[in-house]
Amino acid sequence: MKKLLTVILLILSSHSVLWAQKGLAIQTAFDELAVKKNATEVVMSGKRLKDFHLSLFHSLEIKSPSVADRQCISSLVQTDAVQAISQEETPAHSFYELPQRKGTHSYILYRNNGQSLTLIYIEGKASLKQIKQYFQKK
Amino acid sequence: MTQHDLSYWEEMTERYFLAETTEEEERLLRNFLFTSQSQDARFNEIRATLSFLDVCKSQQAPRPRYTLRALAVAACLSAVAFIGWYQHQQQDISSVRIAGQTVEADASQLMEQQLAEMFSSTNP
Repeated sequence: MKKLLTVILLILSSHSVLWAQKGLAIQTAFDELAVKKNATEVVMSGKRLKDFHLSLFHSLEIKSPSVADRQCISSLVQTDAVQAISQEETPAHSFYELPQRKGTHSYILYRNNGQSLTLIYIEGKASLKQIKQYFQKK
Repeated sequence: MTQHDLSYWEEMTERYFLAETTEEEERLLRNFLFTSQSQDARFNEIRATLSFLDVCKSQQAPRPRYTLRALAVAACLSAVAFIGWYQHQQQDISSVRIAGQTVEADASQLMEQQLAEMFSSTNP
């Protein structure tokens, strides 16, 4: 019976999209900053992402972020960036590709243009190049 | 059941206590003890013994395994149904929260907008 319960819990945890970025430092940002009055959090998974070969989209956008918010998110992103296998950084944005898990890519995208700050976590089969192609033209 | 005189059953009773009876004879002896013919006091001991053994046997009888098996199958089916339902629930999440409060908004549109802005100043 214990074995059965263990198997069930493993199956459930392996499919829980809400826990997908658990273990990453940016989880703190989603947990703590998403409740701020100037914060917008978007979570998407499932059929609507299928066309983009993605399985999870989780974003946090903060309008007119405080210095503390900027520093907090930037610090969390930098913590996760340590394990990135590839990265693209400019003063305006940072993209990090994390090590694959079971053939699934995961990315942290971070953008700070002064007026707003956007943190995105993405999972899926698509490469970053493909993701750019899907959304850049829109 | 063939009619026998009491001495026949008395003799079989004695053989029973000497462990010389066959299973078939013991079955016949049990049947005999249900008849009015056996109400003689000579058969009280064998009646008590066999009754006691029958009670012990019924208490020690293993519980039907099919009950446990049925419960296990039901538990597995429930687990599979729950996993299916859970995955279905997980498959299509689409939510937008502003200031921690869920709002009615087009998550797809927001996602596309945020990603377009994210990639607006980058090379393909």
